[in-house]
Amino acid sequence: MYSDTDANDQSERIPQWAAGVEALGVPASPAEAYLLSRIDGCTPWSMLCEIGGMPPGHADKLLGSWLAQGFLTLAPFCGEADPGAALWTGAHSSESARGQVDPSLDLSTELQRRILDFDANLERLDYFELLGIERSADARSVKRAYFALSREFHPDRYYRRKMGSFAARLDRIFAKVVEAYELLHDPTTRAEVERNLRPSGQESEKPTPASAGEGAGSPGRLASKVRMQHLSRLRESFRLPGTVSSERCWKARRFFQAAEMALELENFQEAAANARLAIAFDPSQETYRAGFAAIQSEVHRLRARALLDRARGVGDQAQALELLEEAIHYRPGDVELSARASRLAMALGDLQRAMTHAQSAAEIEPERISNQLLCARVLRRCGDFESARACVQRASELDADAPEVAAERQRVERGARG
Amino acid sequence: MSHVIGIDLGTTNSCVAVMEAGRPVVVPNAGGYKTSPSMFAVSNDGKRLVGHIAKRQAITNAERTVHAAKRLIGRRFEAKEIQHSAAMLPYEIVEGPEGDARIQLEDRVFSCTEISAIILREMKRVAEEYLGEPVNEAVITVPAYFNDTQRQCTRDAGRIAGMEVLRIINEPTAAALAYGLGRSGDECIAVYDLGGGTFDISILELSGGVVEVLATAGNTFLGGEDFDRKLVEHVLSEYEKCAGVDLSNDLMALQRIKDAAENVKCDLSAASVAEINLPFIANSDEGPLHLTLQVERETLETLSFDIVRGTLDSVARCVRDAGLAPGDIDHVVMVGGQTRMPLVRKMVGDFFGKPPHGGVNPDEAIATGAAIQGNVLVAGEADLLLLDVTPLSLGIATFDGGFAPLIDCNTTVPAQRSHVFTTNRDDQASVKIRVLQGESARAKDNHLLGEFVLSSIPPARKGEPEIEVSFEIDASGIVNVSARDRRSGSARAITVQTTGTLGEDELNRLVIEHGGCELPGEV
Repeated sequence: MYSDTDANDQSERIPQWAAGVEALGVPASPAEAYLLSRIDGCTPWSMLCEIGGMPPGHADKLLGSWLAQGFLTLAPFCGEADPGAALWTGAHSSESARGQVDPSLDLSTELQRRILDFDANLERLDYFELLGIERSADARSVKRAYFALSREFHPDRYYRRKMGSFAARLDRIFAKVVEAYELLHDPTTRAEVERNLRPSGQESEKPTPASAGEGAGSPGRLASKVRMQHLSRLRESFRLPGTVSSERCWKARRFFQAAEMALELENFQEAAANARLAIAFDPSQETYRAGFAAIQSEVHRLRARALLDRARGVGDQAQALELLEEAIHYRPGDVELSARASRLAMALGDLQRAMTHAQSAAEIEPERISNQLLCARVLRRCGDFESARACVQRASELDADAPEVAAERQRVERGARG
Repeated sequence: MSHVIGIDLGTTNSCVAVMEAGRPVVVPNAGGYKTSPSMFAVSNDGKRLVGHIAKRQAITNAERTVHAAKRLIGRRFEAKEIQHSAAMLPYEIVEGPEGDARIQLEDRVFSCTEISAIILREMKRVAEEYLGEPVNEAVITVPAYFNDTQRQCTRDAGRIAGMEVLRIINEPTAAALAYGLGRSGDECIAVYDLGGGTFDISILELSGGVVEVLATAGNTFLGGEDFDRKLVEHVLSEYEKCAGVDLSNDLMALQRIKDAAENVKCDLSAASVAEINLPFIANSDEGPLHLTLQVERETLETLSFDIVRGTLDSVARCVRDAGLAPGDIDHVVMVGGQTRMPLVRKMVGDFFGKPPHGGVNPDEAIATGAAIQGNVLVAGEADLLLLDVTPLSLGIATFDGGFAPLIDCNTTVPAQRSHVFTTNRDDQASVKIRVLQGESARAKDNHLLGEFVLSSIPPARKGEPEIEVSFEIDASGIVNVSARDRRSGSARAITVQTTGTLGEDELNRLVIEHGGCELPGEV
């Protein structure tokens, strides 16, 4: 969707580092090194030529020579997947992989998305981000995060399930999680990881080149250290320059137009991805950010609706509650949803959750009698008649004559008497 | 859904467990025993016997009764451990077609895999009788220090016995699962597993249902039978001293003494003195001879002190590998029958500075853990998750006969690692990749898992080509190795589906042969 310069299929292919090649092993001038640093395994050839900081023809030639020397390999351009979206971390890139979710597998689509998302970000996240912990996390938290991710991604959890391409992804994710844990668990390697994550000044520190002579030591560790330095350099390369070139502005505009078009076609995933690309190319434009926020909220609205549909469909109340709560996450201001969740939690006997939801309903819309009465009901069930009375009082201040207020008042008083 | 059984295939005794309604149940055999002797015999009239029956006739049929086949499984005939055992075992060990150790019973040669299969089949039958339905899937345990060939042989044995082996897991790890079931707190435990023929020590961390193996060490040729052997040697020498008769070449007498020694050893765990009483042990010119001997606990402890101290060296190494000190261990779990011995409990307790935990049954915990892991796999049991490690380093041989490990021991599986190697001659066109497993720095002291040749490397000066070797090991411990020349792109890969000691043809033949045969049956 972005390229009108596609002259051959090579331009649609994605250059990536050949396994084991490290940036320091590729002789390059600073300008060439800049182009090298753009190679992240998800930007196609044509894009690299455009963002490589040199005339496109020159970049094309350089990439070709690196390819010939075996530093690079080519991955096929993956059709629907949006390479630009992969510039982003976190949950956002899940849309990019949406096309690959396969409902025929023995995995919930949520889980598939989670796996795709995690897998897509594997190479970009630093070890702390990978484990979802703060840089300052202590050894205990490192281990806890590792165990939590193991519970989620260890291949044994999906033994014999029909997994399709997800089996390989899981293996990859789990291996990476283990790598992160092993490095952060050991104070010495952790110190090195931390040193490598510092934003600047590390380029000059040369990693020891891997060679057969070191075989007797611990090549695995060494390889992963080298790889880590490579990764941190790649992360650096995503910092955008301070001023935006006119070419970038133009590119950003095009992406935003594509986003608007996708929006018209109600293809929200693509719209979000394009809007994000627009922001990536020109972060100074507030309109792009506003547009992205609008698209995002639409995506959330749709997701919440899908979750609600599912919640209606499931027979198990506990599961329905889980789905409802997820929907609330996407639609935090929806008073109806909170009230429903509260009633459902009460039916399940989970009074604490019922209270949380009733309170948030009452906070969103305190002038609604039903919200106050809901609070009163939960409090009454909890045995806190004093607070229940206060809620009924607030309800009666809103409408003193409402019969449901009187009825609730009676129930509270009866309960208080024992 | 059919049940997955957990089998502890022990050197001297085997045990089977199954999960029922979320709880593990150790299945008793027809005789009411929860463990069965890992014994196989061909009787005088040609019948095949297994378990208790085999043990009962062992004295009269010593030459045709196989015990402790697990000590031989997956080992080469010329290995010194085998040669050492051959001198002590009443049955005959011969060399198989692949150079493996096999057992000759009359005119039939049995591979150790086949013997194990017969025992596994018996355990399967015990479980089937209890459950009232066929069983086709199992998790089988092996000593943590078993190498890949020994594991593969055990897998093959399961296949011959008519079961799909879902997973081979380490015995101490299984015991930790049994211990960890239903515990949600954070703790570090040591599992000290001294069985009939093997010794293992593992340090594990339990947290919120995740069981992580921190380190593992052991010795596959050390166990309760060594205690027995010491005692047998003691009895033989005492008897020679007082009666002047050497019984070490009398197979029947030897078997009786061995049996008696085992009983006395067990008795001495509770009593301070026990008696060996074997009437009519031999004949002399003056008439029949009897053997009567008092054995004191102290004598046994003196005899076996060195063995127990030897295990503590492994324990110390394992604790160190785990990055801990003995005092960091919250509980010491003892499994394997030999850990009932007071000396073992005391010395291990002294090492860790706390008495051993008494909460698991030393004979049943391993089978229980295997059944739990089977359930975790097939029933998607989410309460427990085992993070297992590879017990031995994996790597390749280098030109100078050295060993370059790519996946270190105690690495959590699944794992993948790669490394770049190069040539050592000008214009070298091919390299041989030899995949090894072990801890020695010299290639020849490690165990060869497989080899392949990467050819068509373009002519270059020595040291210039970059040959990338990648190792992958999956959760079941299957190893994949690939090698690639970076310049030419020439690549070769093998799955080190470790060949057991049986060729594919022989294995298939045995699967069919054992498929229809009910035990005990005709040879």
